[in-house]
Amino acid sequence: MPDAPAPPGRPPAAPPPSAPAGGLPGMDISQLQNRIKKIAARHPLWAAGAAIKLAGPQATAFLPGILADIARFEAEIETQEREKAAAEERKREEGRRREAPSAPAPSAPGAPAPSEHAGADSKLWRFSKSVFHNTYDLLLKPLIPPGVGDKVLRIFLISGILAAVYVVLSKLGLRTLYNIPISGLLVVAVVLSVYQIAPGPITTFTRNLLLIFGGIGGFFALSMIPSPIIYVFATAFLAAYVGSVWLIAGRKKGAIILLVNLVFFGLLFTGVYIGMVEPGSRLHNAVIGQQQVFNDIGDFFVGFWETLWSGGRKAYFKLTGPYELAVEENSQQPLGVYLEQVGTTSQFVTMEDTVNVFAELRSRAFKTDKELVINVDCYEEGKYELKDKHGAITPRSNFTVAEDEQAPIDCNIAAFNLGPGSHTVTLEATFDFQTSSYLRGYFMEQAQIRSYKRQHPEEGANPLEAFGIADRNPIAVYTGGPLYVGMGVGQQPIAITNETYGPTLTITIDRNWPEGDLIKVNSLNIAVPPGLKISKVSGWQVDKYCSGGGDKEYSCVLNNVEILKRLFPVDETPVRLRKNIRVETMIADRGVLMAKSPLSIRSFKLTMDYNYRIKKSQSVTIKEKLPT
Amino acid sequence: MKKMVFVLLLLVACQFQVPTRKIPESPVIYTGTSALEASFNPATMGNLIMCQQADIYVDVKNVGASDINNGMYSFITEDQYLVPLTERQKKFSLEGKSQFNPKGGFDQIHLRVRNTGILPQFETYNPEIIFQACYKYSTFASTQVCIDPDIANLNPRKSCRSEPVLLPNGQGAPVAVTKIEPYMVPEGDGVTPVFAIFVQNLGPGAVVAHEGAEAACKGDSGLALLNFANVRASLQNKDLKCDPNPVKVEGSQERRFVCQRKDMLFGPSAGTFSAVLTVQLDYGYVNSLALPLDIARLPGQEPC
Amino acid sequence: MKLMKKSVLVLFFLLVLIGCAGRKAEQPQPVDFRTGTQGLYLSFVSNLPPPKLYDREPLNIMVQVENKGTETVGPGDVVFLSGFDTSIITDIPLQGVDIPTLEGRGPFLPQGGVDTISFRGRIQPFSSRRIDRYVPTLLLTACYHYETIASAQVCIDPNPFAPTSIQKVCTPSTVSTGSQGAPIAVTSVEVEAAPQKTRFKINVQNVGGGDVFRAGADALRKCSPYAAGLTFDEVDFIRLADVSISNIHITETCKPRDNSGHLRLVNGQASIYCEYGAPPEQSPFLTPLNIVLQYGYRQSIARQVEIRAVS
Repeated sequence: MPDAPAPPGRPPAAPPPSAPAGGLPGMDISQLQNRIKKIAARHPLWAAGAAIKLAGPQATAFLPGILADIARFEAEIETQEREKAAAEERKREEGRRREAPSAPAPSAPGAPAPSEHAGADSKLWRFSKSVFHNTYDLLLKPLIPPGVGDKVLRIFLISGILAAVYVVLSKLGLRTLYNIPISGLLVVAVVLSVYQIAPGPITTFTRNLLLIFGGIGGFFALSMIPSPIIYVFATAFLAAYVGSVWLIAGRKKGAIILLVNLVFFGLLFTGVYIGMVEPGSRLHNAVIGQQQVFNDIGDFFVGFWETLWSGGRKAYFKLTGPYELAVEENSQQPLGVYLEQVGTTSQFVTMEDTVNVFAELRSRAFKTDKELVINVDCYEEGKYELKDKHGAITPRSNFTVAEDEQAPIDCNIAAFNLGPGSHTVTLEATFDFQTSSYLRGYFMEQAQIRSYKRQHPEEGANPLEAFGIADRNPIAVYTGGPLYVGMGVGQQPIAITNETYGPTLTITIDRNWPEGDLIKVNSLNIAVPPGLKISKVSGWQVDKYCSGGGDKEYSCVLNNVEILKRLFPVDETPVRLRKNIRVETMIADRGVLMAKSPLSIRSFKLTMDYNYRIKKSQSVTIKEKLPT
Repeated sequence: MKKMVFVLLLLVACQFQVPTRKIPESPVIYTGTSALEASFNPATMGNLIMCQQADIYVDVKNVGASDINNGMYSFITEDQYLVPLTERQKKFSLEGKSQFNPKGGFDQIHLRVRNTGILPQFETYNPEIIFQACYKYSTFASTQVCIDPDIANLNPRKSCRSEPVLLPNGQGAPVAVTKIEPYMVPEGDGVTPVFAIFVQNLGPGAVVAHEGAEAACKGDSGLALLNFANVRASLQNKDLKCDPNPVKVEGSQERRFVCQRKDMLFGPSAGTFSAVLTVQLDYGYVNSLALPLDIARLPGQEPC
Repeated sequence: MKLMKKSVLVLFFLLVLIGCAGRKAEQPQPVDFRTGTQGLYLSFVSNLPPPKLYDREPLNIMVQVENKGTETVGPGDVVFLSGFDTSIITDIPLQGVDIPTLEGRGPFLPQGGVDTISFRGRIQPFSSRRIDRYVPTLLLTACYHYETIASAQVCIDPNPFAPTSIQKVCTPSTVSTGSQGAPIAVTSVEVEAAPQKTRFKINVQNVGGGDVFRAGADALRKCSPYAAGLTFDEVDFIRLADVSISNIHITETCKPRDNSGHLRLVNGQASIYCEYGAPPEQSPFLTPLNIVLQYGYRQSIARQVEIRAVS
C-alpha cells in the first residue's frame, strides 16, 4: 500500500537513517530510526547529520556519540512535555476557579452554604458561619419543621438584628432620626455578605465597605470605654489599622482608607456632628475626647518644632552671628511666670451655669530689687475686645510676687455670655520683666595687636595669650527669663586706633522660652565703659537720653516712647523676634579707656525692661440642657 | 681565723686610702633661660564677697644672672568692678644670681582691691587681675672660640679647631645666645675672624626695646612695641662691629647677626688658640600673669 | 726525723753548689742601646698646672723632658707653649724655651738625660670681660733636631749567579733592623744581589708619633706654633746624611733624593735605593751597612686647664 501523501503545509520530514553497509552489531536499527525520527521534528539538522554518520563506513565509531545525543534530546523532550502538561493543568484549574462563584457546587444536606469567603480561605468567615449554622441547626432547626419556616425565620432573624443594632446605636448616642437607616444599612450589609444571596459584586462592595469603616468602628468601640487615657489608644489603634491595610491589602486600598479617615476625622473638628450626636452620651464623650487628643498632639508637635527651630536658630547665630551667649547660672532654672495645670471644672455646662477655667499661677523669684506684678485675665479666644466675653478672675487679677509663689486662679464666665456650643477660653498672665546682660571687652592698641600677630603668624594667635588670659573669646552673659539678650563687639581684643571711632556693639534679642510673647519693651539701658561714648543706636541719635562720661560709664536709658517706637515698631505687637540693635560708639578719652595700661579690661552692660505675656487655652462646651 | 684576717686586711686597706682633695664646685650662674619668675601667692584671695576687699600677693624672684634695676610692675584690673586701694604701678629692683647669691633676689608684691558691686540680677562675677612686670635686662654670653689662622691646616697638631659652638643651656637670661659660628676669613697672610651669632627668646615673656621697658607697662605705644635687643660683642677686649644692631627678637624665632672687626687680623705668629668671645644683649622684657577672681553676691545682699 | 735529716742535707748541698760556682769578676757589659722608637719624651709635671685655677693667679707650668733616644738633644732645640689667649694668660714667652742639653742613651748609659722646663705666666682678671670660665687646651710643642743611626749586617755576593759549588758564607737577604732609638727608624734593608752590583732597598718609617721635617735651623724655626708653619716641601723630609758599607760611602748612589739630599716620606714611610759595586772576584761576605738619617722632629702634648673667675 502506497504511503499516504504528506498533508500539505507540513515540512518534509528528515530522511530516516539508512542502515549502514556492515550493520550495527547488537543494535536494533528500526528502533534507533524511530527514536531519531521523534527527535528530528525538533532538531532536523542533527537528525540529518546522524543519519549520514550512521550510513557511512564509520557508523560504529559514531554510534556512542549519537546514542548519547539521543538520550539527551529525549530527556529534553520529556521535560518539555511535562512542563506543558503542568501548564495546561494550571490553566484548567484556574478556569475552574473562575467559573466556580457563578455556579455554586451542590452541598450536602445540613452542610453550610459554600460562600466566596470559604473559597477565599478566610477562617474567620468559616468560623462565623459555622457558629451561625450550628446554632441554627442545634437550637432552632429542631423546633422548626424543615422547609417550612426557613424563610420566615430568616426574616425574624434579620428583624431581630436590625432591632438590636438600632438599640445599640441609640444607646451610643446616635440621633434617633438617623438611627434607623444606619442600622438598616449595617444589617443588610452583614446579611448579604454572610448569606451570599446577592450576586458577587455587591458582596465585594460590602466587604470593601467593612474594610474601610472597620477601623473607624473599632476606633469608636475603644472610645466607648469611659477613661480619658483610652482616647489616645483609640487614636493609636486607628493609625495602626490604616497602616496595616496599607501594608497588607496594598497601596490602593490603603490610600482609600486613609482618605476616608482623614475626611471623617476632619469633620470631627467642625460642627458637623453637633446635630448628630447626643451631648453627654458616650459617643459624644468619645468625639470630644478624640478632639482633645488630636489638639494635644498638635500642640506637642507645634511646641516641639518651636523648640527645635529656636534652638537651631540660637546655635546658628552662635556660630555665625556677631555675638555669643552664655547664660547666667540661674538662668537655667525656670525663672519667671508659668500657668500650669490649666483645666476646666466641667467640660459641659448649660446656659444657666458658669464656665470655670482654673490654673496654677507660679512664679520663681529672681535677683532684682523690683517686685514682679503679674496681671491675669481671661476671655473667649478671638473676642478680647468684647467686654462681656471676659471673665472674672478670683481670688484677684493682680499678683505681686517677690519670692517663689504659687497661687490658684479661677476664671468664671457666665455661660450665657458665651452662648451654646463649643468655646475656647484663654487665660493670660502678663508681667513686666527685666533681663540684664554684660559682655567683657579687652582693649588693646592696634599696633600692639599687629606686632603680636606678626611675631606669631600661626593661625588663631591671640595677643591675649601673652597676658596669660584664659578666656580669650568672652561671650555675653545674661540673666534668665523669657528673653535672651546677646551682645557682641566682633573679634577680641578690641583694637584701638588713633581714630575716634570706637567698637560697634551688636545687641540681639530673641526668645528664651518656647511660650509667650514679647508685648512691649518699656526701657533699654545700655552702658559702655568709661572712655567710650554712644553716638547712635540703630542709626538714631540718642545723645539726649545719655549721661556719664569722664571716668564713669557712659549710659543711655532709652525709655522714651519716641525712641522705643523707632527701635520696636508698634505695628509689630507682639514684637517679632529675633531683633537686632546696633550701638555705635566713639572714643571719648583714650587715656581713661586704656587706663595707662597696655591692656584694658572693660564691660558693656545692658538692662532691658519689657512686658511679657503667657497664655493658655481651654475648651468648654455649652449646651442648652444636660441629658437626663 | 681566715675571716678575721680578711676583715683586718680590709680595714687596713681602707685606712690607707689616700684622701682625694675635694675641690668645691662654684655655683653655675650663667645658665638657664629665665629672668623674673612671678607667681600668685597661695594667700591671695581668689574668692570674695561683693563689696569686699581682697589682697593680692605676687611672689617675684630674679632667677637670671642679671640684676633688675628700676623695673616696673603693673596690675591690670577691671576698674568697673575692682578699685585698687594701693598703688597699681610701682618700680622695683631685684638682684640677679651671683657667686654670693646663687639663688637671686626675691620679693613679694602686694595689691589691695575693693569690689564696688556686680550687676543686679547676677549672683556671681568673674573678673581677672593681670600682673605685668616690665624691666630692662641683659644677657651675657661668653664662650670659647678657636682662632685658627692655619686655615690650610699645615700644622695638624692644634690645640683647638674652629667649629660652631652650641649653647643650649642659656646664659641666665630669657634671650639666649644659642649658637656661634666662627669663620676665619683669610685676609692676606692672616685671617679675620667673623662670628655669626644666633639668639632666641627662650623665656616666657616678650622682648621689647631696652629703652621701652617702662613704657611697656604704662601702655605707651612706639618704643615699647619694638622687639629689639642692643648687641655688644668683644674679642680679646676689643669691641666687634655687629650687624644688624640692634637685632630684632620676635616671638621665639631664632635670629642671626654677624660680628667682626676689620682690623683684627691674626697671622701665623698668633698661632692657634682658644679665645673668649663675649656677647652682651641689652633689651627690655615683659612678663605677664593672670589671676581669675570670683565675686559672689550673698542672697539678699544690698548693693555696695 | 729521717725526713728532717734529708732536708738539711739537701740544703747543705745547694749552698755548696752556689758557693762554689765561682765569682767571676763583674765587668760592665755593653748594652744594645739602639732600640726604641722615641726621641724626646714630654710630660707635664703633676699639678703644674693644676686642673682648676682662678683668675688673677700665676700660671705655673712645668714640663719634664726626657731623652729616650740615642741622640743628644741640646741647644737650638726649643719647646713652645701655645693654645691660649695671650690677652688672658700673659707673660708666657712665645718664642719658646730652649731645651737643655740632654744626652741620648749610649752603650754605657742606659737612660738618657732628663730635665724640666718651666713656663710662668699670669692670668688676667675676668671681671671686666664678663667671663665666667675659661678652659684653654695648653699645647706644649717640642721642636728638635735628631739623628737615626742604623747599622744592618748585610751579605754582599758579587757573583750571586756564579756556577760554583763553593759554600757561601752568606746569602743576600732582607735584614730587619727594627728601631734604633729614634723616632725615625730604618725598619729593614732589602738586599738585591746582582753581578758586580748589590742594591740595597732601605725602608724608613716615622715611628715616633710626631712630625718629621727637614733638618736645618730655618725649618726648626718654622716648627714653632707661632710661626707661619712648615710648608708642604718641608714636612716629611729626611736628610740621608750617610750610607756606608765597609767604610765606603755610597750615599751618592742613593735615590730618590732631592737636591739637598733629603728623601720624602709618604704616609710616614719611604724607601731609598742605594748601590754598592763590590769587586767581582770577591767572595760573598757579611758587612755592616751604616745608615745615618738627620731630620727635625716635632712632638706635642696637651693639657686642659679650667680657669674660673673669682671676682
